[in-house]
Amino acid sequence: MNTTDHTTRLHLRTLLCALGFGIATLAHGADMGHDHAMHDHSMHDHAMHAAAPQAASMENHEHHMQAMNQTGYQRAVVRYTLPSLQLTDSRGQPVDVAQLLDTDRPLAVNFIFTSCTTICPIMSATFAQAQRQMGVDARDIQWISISIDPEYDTPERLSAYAQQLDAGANWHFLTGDLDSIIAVQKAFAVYRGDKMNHAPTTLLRAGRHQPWVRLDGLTSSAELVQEYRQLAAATH
Amino acid sequence: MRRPPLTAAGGWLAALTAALLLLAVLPSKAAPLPDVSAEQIAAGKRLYREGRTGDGTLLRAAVRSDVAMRGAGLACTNCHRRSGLGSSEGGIGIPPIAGNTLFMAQSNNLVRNYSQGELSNISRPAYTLQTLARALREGINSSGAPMSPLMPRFDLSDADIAAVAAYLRTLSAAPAEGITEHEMHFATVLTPDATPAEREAMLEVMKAYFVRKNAGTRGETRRAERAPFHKEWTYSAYRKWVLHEWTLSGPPATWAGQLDALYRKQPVFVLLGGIGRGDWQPVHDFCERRELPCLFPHLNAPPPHAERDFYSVYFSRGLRLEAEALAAHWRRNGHDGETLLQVYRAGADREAAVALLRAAVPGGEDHRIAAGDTPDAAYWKRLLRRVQADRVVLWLEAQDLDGVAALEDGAHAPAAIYASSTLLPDPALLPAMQRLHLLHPYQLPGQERQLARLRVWAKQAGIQPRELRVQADAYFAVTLAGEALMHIRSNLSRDYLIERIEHMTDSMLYTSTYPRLSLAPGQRYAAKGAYIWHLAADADTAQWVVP
Repeated sequence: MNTTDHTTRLHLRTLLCALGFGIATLAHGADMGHDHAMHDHSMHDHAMHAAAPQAASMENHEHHMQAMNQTGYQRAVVRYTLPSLQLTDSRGQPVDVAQLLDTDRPLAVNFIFTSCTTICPIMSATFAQAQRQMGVDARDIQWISISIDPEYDTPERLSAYAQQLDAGANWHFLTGDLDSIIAVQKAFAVYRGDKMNHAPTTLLRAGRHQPWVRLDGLTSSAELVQEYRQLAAATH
Repeated sequence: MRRPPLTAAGGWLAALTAALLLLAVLPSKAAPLPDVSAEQIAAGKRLYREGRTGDGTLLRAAVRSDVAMRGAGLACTNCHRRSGLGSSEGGIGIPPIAGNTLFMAQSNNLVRNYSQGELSNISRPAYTLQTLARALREGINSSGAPMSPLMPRFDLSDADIAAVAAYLRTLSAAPAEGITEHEMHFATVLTPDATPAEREAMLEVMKAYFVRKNAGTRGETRRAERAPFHKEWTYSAYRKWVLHEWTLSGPPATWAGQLDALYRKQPVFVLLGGIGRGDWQPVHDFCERRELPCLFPHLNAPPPHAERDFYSVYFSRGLRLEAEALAAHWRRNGHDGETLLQVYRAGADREAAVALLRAAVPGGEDHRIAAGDTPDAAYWKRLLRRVQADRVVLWLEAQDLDGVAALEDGAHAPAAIYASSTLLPDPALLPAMQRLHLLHPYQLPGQERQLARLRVWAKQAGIQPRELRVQADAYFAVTLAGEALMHIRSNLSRDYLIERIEHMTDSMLYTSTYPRLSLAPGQRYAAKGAYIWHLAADADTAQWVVP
């Protein structure tokens, strides 16, 4: 399949999504055959290419392709330079992002907002379940969820959200002023302008000076744990 | 039936055959309705909206193959939304599941030819109770294909599945009131506490928009009559917009009765815009009770708990937002322990703000100006001698501020004086003072580029600038409604309209006096913060505070 095809289909999909699936009511009733509908492509779909980091280098492309074919997410190994930014945690305390990330402890980062109904609850449940699956190992990791709707997600709302998830002390929920939150999204190449366009992205890092493993798409918790173990094994 | 191959030679013929076949079976009927009880529908609704099963326990499921989830977060409404008409987020499409979609075969070659992604799932046989059970428990769709891993695999009893099926058949099934074959009815509510000038400014913008909208729709209606089959659903959405002015009178306690009478006389699809300075709760409650969207009225005091409800969407929390911003500023700047004098006149909007700020700042006094009093310099000096406060807030309009500069004289002068920008729409009319700060949820001078579209549109419509915030709010309400109705096309569901607005407000090219308007599912106040703007300093030193 050539690139033009991708682009055309991507645009059409975006358009159709924007129509809110009103189109589904287009042709009630007529069963015109469903041969192509026999496969569920949702998580393999090329729309996910929109989520690929554009400025980031992609190492390990072979693995990335393989992963994409077998699972619902794409994997890339990338390096990011983070500006010095001040965010706020769910207790209302200031957090310097560069300082938070300047650690030898492994990191797992995702981007959520508390009023998101579709993918964020699943991403948060995946973090929670991966932590349970890892048991004591999870305590070595700093889990970080950054709100992309900072003016609604006040520290109080994030704190309530964390409580619902039974989040432990090593799971940080961060908000901040709008400009800083946009800057941190741009630094991790996840900024989409409108929060309703956000895509599920998880970032893992084994330690200081290590590259990030970027997972675009939703992982199962077993996949997330597996990705982390692979990463930990490769760097120790 | 398998799709015939579209070769270059036979392509058009095949397409034509397909089109004729499609026409031949339209409209297809849903499977006959099995006997269901009201209790079953209610149980299905609980499951759909709250994630509660028939035996009262919380819904349980596995998502993305192994992520166990439990509770209200799993309720169908989270993704498929209250309307059951689906949504999309981050390029992930959630299909509609309301009964008149779910229990009908779906086929869409037009889409399928271009998309082999999720949308291809639109082509599938009608669901039956059996295939619905398999979909909910095992994630296999009615074609026998595995569904998206995002769809939870639920742990549900047969009774639960029958209940949810019964509810889905009712969901978004009844035609919404306020819509006829050729007309869509809107009402705008005017409460007696808004001034005549404000009311006229709002109505002028709305009426001009409706005239222009309908001039455009005339051609669309004609096109609808001759629309090719694949565009019918697009053109059939167009109707003439009709605006009704619902002018309320008397005390707020009587408004519910007035609104009901107006609605009985002329049901409307949406309450659009509207204006009120004091209590709006009766209008809010009416909308909730009638399940009637109430979109972006221009208010000083929107009800405080709109996020517990569904149908009303507001610009901001009004004067409460200003009070909350000052409370947050107070706390964050270490003013705890300082005293605050609040000066206000009677009114539901001002009293709500005074109470809210007082709860956050216990020290000091609240002073209500008596109805007959006109404060002058001597009045302010006397007040300040009696109540010595570190800071002062003025919940007052411009006519009460003539002598207020006297507050800055003498030994008892407060460290800062704050005033409500909502009550003082024109900062140019304020007295020159060194310590005056505006609590200002609006754009600062120099940021008003966002109003450029309104200015151009108003000029073309022959509307002079006046009551700019009222005009801008009215224009925002009508343009957003116009765009949202375009998005929902012929899915004329009130719930779906609200869902689209939750979804599209952030990305809209809006015209507004607010720096930023943002919504999401469940959010009901679009503006989230306010500037604390020290008028004697440069505007760019104003601090943006999100409480």
